[in-house]
Amino acid sequence: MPTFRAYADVQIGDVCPPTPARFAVTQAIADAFRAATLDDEPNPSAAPSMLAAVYLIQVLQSRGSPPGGVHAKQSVRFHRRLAVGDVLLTSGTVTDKFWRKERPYVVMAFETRDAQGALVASGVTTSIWGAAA
Amino acid sequence: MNGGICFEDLKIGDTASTGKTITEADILMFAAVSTDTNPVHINAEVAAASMFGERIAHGMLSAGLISAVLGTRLPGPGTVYLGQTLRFRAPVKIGDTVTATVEVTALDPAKKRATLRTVCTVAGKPVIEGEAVVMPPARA
Repeated sequence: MPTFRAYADVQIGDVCPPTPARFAVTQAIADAFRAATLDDEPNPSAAPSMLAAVYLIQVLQSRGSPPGGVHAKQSVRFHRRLAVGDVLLTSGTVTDKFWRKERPYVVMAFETRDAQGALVASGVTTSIWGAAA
Repeated sequence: MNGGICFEDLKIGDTASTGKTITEADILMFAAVSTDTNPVHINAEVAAASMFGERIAHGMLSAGLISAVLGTRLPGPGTVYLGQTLRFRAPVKIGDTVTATVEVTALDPAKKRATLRTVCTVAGKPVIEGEAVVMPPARA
């Protein structure tokens, strides 16, 4: 059973997860993402850049938000193309939290780096905290 | 199409779209690929009690359609994706047909970069709005 955190316990400056979340870009994953999004990119060794944003979910999950939280908005900057075989390491830092329309929001800045430490993607994501806690 | 549209051939107002009806299979597959098993996507009972009232698709599944239009149609193959903003306006439910549309709104000749308005709609209603910045393929 996962441990959930109450919104009140979220602090600006929290780093999630303590060790960057690791994700390997495999051919099967690139192909599945393309199939789901009607992407017929002719170069099979290239991977959709958007995958770097998709796997931000591992960082969001590590925060301990109860079920029911959702993305509100996101901005991402892609610093280089992704390729099958890349290993992505992503971490995030809480930069703001606020209430709007009686919903609790959390803002995180995130960075995704490759196994050599080079920046692959970065950005900011804003999400509504889950309501169960 | 083997190559994308070169920067020099792009015009403000150029547009392209693609559409897809979201199925339960899409959501389950995306949950597996993304590791996003949020119950609002895969658990009908939890989703029914949520603010959405039923299961919804992952926002990034619809956002992926934008990426596909940019990479395969406008500007197309050879495009370097530099950035994207996404504002999730409304949920996408099973059976909804999502249409992703991109439109060139600015061209920077010095940097050879294009800015495109990006929107995903369901029945004409925006569900995701944002903006993409890309570097289209260079003319050979």
